[in-house]
Amino acid sequence: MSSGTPTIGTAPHQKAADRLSAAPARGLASSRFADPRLRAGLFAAGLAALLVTPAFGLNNSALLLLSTVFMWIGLTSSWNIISGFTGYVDFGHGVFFGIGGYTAGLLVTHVDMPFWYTVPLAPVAGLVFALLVGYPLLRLRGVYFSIAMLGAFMAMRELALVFRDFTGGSGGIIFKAVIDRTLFYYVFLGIAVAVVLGTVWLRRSQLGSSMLAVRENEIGAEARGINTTAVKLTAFCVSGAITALIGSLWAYQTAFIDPAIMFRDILLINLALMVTLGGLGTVWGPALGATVFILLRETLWGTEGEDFLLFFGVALIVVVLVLPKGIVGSLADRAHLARARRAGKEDGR
Amino acid sequence: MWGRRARGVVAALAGLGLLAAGCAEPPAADDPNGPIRIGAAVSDTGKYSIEGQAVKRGYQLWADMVNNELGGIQVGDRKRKVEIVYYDDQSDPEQAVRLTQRLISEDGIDFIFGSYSSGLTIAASAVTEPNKRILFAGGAAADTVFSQGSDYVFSPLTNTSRYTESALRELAKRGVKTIGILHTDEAPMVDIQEATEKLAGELGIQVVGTQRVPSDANDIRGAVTQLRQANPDVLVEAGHTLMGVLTVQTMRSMDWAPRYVVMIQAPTEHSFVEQLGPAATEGIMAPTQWHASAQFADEYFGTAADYRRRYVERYGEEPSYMPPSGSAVALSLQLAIEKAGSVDVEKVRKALLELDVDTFYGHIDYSGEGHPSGLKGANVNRPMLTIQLNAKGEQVVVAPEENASAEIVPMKPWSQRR
Repeated sequence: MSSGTPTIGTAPHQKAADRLSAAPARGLASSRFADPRLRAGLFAAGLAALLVTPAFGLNNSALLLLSTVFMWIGLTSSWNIISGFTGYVDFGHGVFFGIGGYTAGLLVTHVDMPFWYTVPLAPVAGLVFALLVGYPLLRLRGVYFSIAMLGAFMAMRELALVFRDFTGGSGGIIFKAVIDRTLFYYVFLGIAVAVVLGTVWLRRSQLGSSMLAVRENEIGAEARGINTTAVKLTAFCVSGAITALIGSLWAYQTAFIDPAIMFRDILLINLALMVTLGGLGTVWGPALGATVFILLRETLWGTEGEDFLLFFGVALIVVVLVLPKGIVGSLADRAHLARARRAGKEDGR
Repeated sequence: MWGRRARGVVAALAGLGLLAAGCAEPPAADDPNGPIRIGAAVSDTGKYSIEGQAVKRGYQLWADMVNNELGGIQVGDRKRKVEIVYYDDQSDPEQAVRLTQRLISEDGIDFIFGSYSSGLTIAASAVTEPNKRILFAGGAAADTVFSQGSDYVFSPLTNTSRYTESALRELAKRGVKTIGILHTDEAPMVDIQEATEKLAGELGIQVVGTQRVPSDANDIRGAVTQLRQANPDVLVEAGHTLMGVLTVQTMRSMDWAPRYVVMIQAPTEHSFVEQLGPAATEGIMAPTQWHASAQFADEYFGTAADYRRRYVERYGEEPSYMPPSGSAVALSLQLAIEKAGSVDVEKVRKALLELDVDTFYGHIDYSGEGHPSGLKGANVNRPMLTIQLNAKGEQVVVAPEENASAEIVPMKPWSQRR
């Protein structure tokens, strides 16, 4: 079965894929959280609380902090689709962030387009780039793909620098931005919710199962009839398009972009840190990792100053040693183990 | 069991963070009896950390001088001490914006000292401008920072477009007719190359060759050979320190010494002379924002040499141009507050625009609305200093003429160097 649609998988493939991936993705499905209605209710309550939060007189600083958390939830969750679900760890994912920002910047400066009109075009640009780059690069396996993407990231940064007449080079592009923190709070909240819900759906879909099958055993998945190229490319395009969308919004909110800002290494590092912390390949891990990372950075760096990085480095080593699958992944493992023990006891009775 | 507890801890942590953010106190109004609070989001860590820490030392040296020696800034009929609230932007533009917003919305601060890079400064100014807070760019010199029409951004640094100006003007007086440029492909160096070509045209100096090399090149013989064939009177090299070292080594191996050599960065770094030896570096010139031997002075820091002494006493090493830039930023705020007799933002801004003073850092005169340069808040009339390395490897200011402590000396042929 080698049809072009990535979603097709027959029952045996499905089982194989499920078996391969069951543990991390069951997430917080243990004990009381098992009831889907309860989970949906909690999610809705949390969302409602976040929707009314700005009405309680938050200052711009707090609004910016929260919208930064939402933005990173969107970024980490979208990175997780290619890196966590299909296992193709993308070390150059910031390239899409940059492409989104530059799509908006170039359209605003060269075509005089109002910024908000460029917003739907940024993910299109990300998608096209993902198709062009993904088709050849996704044939590379493991670390070779990671390095090739890092190369694509650096190459695009150089291009943005070299084509000065078009991109402004290091002089950059300035948006005459009217920055409304409340508006961006809602925009980034909307993106975060959409991406996380999309991931929940994806994880339950056949396409998601095929992605996990690619991660666990690509040759095996192919042998069982999954069109792995289509699956990988779909994951890559979705992931890239979301990141490009976020990049365009961030660029406007920052009011100024240049190659060093839009294609910045620290974005790649932070993505990997947050997702590792939360749990690579899990549904909720990236969101949790992003939230914990940014709130820790915010609170600790107020009190610890520059020692924050030292503290955080040590904390991360501890997390990787004690919870190698991240917070969510490790919790899911324990829940799984507890369930198995309970089942064992019941059998023994 | 453990899992549930861990989940609880994470939830509590997240909740605490949200609480801290949500319950942030409203910005404190200025307390006329307390210190004047100034915010500084500088790069303590990350890729600009060396520059960021250097600028920060300049800010702190000023704050200590004001508090310990003057007893505070004279605001009307009373003296008020200063307090600088520092944050680390981690050289990350996301953090630079976030922290600037925090200084304004949570700390209620009106005067902000900026970070090192021009990009971070422009991003920060997008936050300060609509909030009508004054941003001092202690480390940003690109023209674009000041061409945005911002009313609340100020910097005493000389702009990048003028880096080679004082050297070329002085050399033009000495009958120089031709120039060759060797530059790396890094953005600021390309800016300097373009500005230098434009200025040469204005001065009637012919550009006989321009060679661009990759910034990480380790063999530039091809480019140098081309320039040698064009035989310019002046060679301008725009690259980082290692490129400067490579250029000297290559010229020496080809036995080519143009009459004058100007290098953008290398000669101001002490490692340049240490690595090549004073015999090889003698006669090479470089632009610099500030030098301890320059003929500058004010009543607070004294002369440029006094500033250097103060810095060495405090930090145990020679200052580069960056700490004095930070101190000069702060000094201009102090002078404006004293002139305005108030810490009201609009009054201080008006006083800043009216400033026209000599300081240990040179002349400070910020451009305002309608300035012919099109720049606002820039110290447009301040020329860049040019230093030349002497036979002992020491830096001597040679241009512009009024600040010079020695005459420009042509390069010696390689055969006459020990």
